Amino acid sequence: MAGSRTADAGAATSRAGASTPGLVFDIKRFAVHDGPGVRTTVFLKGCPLSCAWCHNPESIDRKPQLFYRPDRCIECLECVKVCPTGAQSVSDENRRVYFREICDISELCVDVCYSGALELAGKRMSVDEVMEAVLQDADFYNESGGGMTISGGEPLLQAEFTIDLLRASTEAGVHTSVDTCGQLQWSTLKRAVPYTSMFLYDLKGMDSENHKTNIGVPNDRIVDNLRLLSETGAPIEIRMVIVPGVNDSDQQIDDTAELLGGLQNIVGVRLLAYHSMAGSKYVALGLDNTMPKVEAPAKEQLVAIGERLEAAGLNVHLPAKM
Amino acid sequence: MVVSTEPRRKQRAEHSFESSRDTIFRRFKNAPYSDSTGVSVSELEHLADVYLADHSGDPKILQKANIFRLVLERGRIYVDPLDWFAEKVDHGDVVRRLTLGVRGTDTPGSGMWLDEAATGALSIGTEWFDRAEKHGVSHQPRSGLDLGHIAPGWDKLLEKGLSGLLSDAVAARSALGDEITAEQAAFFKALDVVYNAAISFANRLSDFARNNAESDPENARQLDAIATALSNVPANPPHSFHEALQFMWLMHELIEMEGENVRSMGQFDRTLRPFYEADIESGAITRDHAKELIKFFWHKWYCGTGGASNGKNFVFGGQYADGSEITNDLTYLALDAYEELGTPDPKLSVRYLPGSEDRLYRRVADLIRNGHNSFVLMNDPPAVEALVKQGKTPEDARIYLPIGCYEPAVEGKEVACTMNVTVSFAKPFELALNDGVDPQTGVRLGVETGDAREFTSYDQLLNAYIAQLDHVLNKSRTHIAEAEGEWPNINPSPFISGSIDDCITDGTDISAGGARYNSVGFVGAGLANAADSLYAIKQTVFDGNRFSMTEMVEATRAGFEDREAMRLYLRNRVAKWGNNDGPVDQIARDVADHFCSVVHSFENGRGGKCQAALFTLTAAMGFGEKTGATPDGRKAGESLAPGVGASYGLDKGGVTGLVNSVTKLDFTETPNGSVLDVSLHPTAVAGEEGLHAFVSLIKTFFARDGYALQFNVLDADTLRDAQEHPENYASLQVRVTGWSVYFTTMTRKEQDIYIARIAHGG
Ligand code: SF4
Ligand code: SF4
Repeated sequence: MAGSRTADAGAATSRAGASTPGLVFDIKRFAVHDGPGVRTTVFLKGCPLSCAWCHNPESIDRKPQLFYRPDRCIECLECVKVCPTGAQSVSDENRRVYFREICDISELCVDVCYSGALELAGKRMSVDEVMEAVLQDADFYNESGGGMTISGGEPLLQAEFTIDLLRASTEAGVHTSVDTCGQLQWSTLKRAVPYTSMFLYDLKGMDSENHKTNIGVPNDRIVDNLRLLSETGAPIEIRMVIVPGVNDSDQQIDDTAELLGGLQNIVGVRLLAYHSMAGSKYVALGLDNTMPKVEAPAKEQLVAIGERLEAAGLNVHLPAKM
Repeated sequence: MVVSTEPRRKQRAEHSFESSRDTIFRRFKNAPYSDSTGVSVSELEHLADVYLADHSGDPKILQKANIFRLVLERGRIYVDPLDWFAEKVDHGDVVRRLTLGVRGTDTPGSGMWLDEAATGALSIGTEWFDRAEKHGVSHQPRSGLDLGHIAPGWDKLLEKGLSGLLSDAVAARSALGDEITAEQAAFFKALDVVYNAAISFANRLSDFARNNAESDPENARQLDAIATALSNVPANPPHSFHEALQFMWLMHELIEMEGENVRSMGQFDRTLRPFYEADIESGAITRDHAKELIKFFWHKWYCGTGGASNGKNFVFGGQYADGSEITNDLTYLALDAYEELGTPDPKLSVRYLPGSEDRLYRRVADLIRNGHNSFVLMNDPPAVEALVKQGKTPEDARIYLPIGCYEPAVEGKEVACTMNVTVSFAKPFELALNDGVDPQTGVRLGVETGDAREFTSYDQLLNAYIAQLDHVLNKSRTHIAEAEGEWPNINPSPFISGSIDDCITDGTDISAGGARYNSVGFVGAGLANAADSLYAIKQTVFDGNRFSMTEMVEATRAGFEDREAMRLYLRNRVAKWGNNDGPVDQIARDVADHFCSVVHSFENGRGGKCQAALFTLTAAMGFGEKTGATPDGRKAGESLAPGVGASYGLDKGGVTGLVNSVTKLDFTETPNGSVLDVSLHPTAVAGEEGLHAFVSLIKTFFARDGYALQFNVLDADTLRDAQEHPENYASLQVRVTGWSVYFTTMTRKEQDIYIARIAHGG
């Protein structure tokens, strides 16, 4: 692995950041398609983009949020007793109700809700706490050539925490991947390079107008950062969620092939098939479900896209199950 | 060479497996016996009754041997012209009705002599066991005698043939000279009767096949092959791969007819390897034809069960007695045959060594993820060491066979009775909270350990639990030993005994302890429920002061009625076994260590060892139904945790957490086996990366000294759909407890439990 990259910025970075806690919304073990081998993926909260098709809607907001799943509620009313804002109350029909608008996410109710009807999306964790969780599976990483992946959201929105975590992982000898959307200042992204064994880089589409409509921003910065990142020598796997009718036009795919074909260090392109099954999470967060009402892409279509990209000399991974 | 060298009659090419499998299946179930071939089952029963009445003073072993002979001499026979293997005699379980009872009836598992003992010499023990069974304390075969978990010495059978064993018997008998006892003399006599009966029976089948080949030229090729094979085996060592398979299949059927359940068909790729290699070398068979024969051969087991259950194990991989690796071309050929068969029967086990080749891992993992989930993967180092710790030589330990599911026994030297008793870890906990009285029924089942509401320390609770558990173990041991003493009067088994060291040398039947190693298996079920319950009380009562002992006792007694918030707290907010959590894992380890050490302090009734195991099989559900609510937040009647793993849905730390926890147990102390059930979502193991991850998971478990693994790779949506549309899923196999079954053959309740477990990714 690129030792020179490690040497360049590592020593210069301050260690003081080690105390910055991160806002983590999930830690997934035995993650298999998030970089090489068996991995533990740490999901950080907050994202600069707002993709209509987001599968983890809890990843977008930079603050903790409350998942509310009334079907689990046993009406013990403990939440009502502790809620300081009245967001948890009892209705006229003597049923418990939740007014999200006045909730200030004090988390008090979550603590007394044993049924899991109220759950927190977003937990403050220190680097040490996350590393303790990650290192539990060290035997699996060693056997499989795996490691830790930091994903989000956009992990580098929590730059200090992410860099500290990457550094700690590198020092512990654990392979690191960062899954980034690229919508960042280059100076921030660059800081991750010395401690990242492999980048997973999300490309949402090559039509900048269309990008702006569906994702909220044009794609220039994402493309520029990808160029710069590839020049550092860091291995990069490109990840593309194929959403039919949104980012799968021949033109977009050809543009993607042209861009990636001209870059160094692109070790692979992973196509992911859009599916609309995250709807219940939107409901539990009290959000409008923005997921496009389109079918998952057909296997033949993914194969065809894969072939176009392969023609540009790229190493394409199709979804393992189609 | 299989095919006779006589001039070819006009005949069609042999029938392919695919074109014959369904017909063979039908005819296996319903053989078109002709009356010209022998007498009916009623007539056999009548003849047997007359014989028994005339010989009631004879030793049981001779009575049984002669009934065995009678059936093989007089019963109607049949050879399916589409098949490559023959065995059919219309025996009607006339021999088994003496011992294990008639299969497929209301009372299998209990025959005349067993009934006699259960109501006579063994009545006290039987009463204890019946009550223990009824209340979910333990589960065991009738009267605590396991007649059903055994395997013959396959290598020895094939090496010597029955004639060779008869010669050994003559020599052993004369070596004993005047010292010979009446029991020994009866044993030798019985051996002579049953082996000669089997040899004549093979000749009957051979003649039948030969005659039909003459009148049925269309099917002559296979009938000729059968006729030739059976004129040689089982009397003599096989001349070919085909004859070796025919030998083993016939032995399986005859041993089962004699009254045992054959739970291992041996180390396939070692025992059959010389025959296979010789035939390939000489050009007598092609690789493809060998594969076809294996399919016909294995189809026999499927014919026997229809996929509803199985427990007939074939093992692959592993090592020779000297420690060298077995895996060879036959291993992979058989796995190909198994893939093409696509049935859950028979059951395959694969043994791994630290140096086992990657190909063996990848091939098996690939089969499993593609729905062939009838595999148990075993880790040889702890399995072998556990046997050595129980006094077996390393050479013997290395040739263990997994009996039934994952309970090892030394091939040809051990009668392991691996399922002698399964003890619930949960019921003693309920008893500890209730001073030994079952709160469900008010019946006293345990010892007095005091009013748990007044317990003031965790140690007091732990001691009460241990006292209740030990009581069950001691009772079981005592009554099992009594039953073993009666075994020669219940199920003498000369036919299988001759293949097991040192029965012939000592002139002693296995029922009288003639085997080199005589073991009794104690299986502990529901470890998670015990550990989680102990930890829950420690955390919330003695360390945390959240609940009082009185609340805990009363809430569990009442099934958490009106205390749902308490139950959810206990279930969701207290750490659980299977998540790599230090303190609760330590308790699980302590409970397991205690159980194993108590079991290993017991000698059994045949002078051998009692051996501990940690798994559940169907007992998880059976015990669960009879056990009230437990402090781990489990509701009354809910299943206990399966295998050695976490409770359903509570392995929230995922599969890696589960593996990290479970491998903290010391599996060199579970000589009678253990298993971890792992459910994986299909996407996690899809593609090349998924296969790599899957193999890494297995290797990590083994490197951490885990014992055995079995897998389900399924998603809950598929299962729900299969519940609603069973017609579309006739071939969907799932692994339940130790067995792989067709999902559509399970009860709705079993299906629901299964789906809940898969949905939790547990
Ligand atoms: S605490 Fe949870 S379970 Fe109880 S009433 Fe509130 S939401 Fe429902
Ligand atoms: S998070 Fe705080 S404010 Fe919001 S509902 Fe819960 S207790 Fe009330």
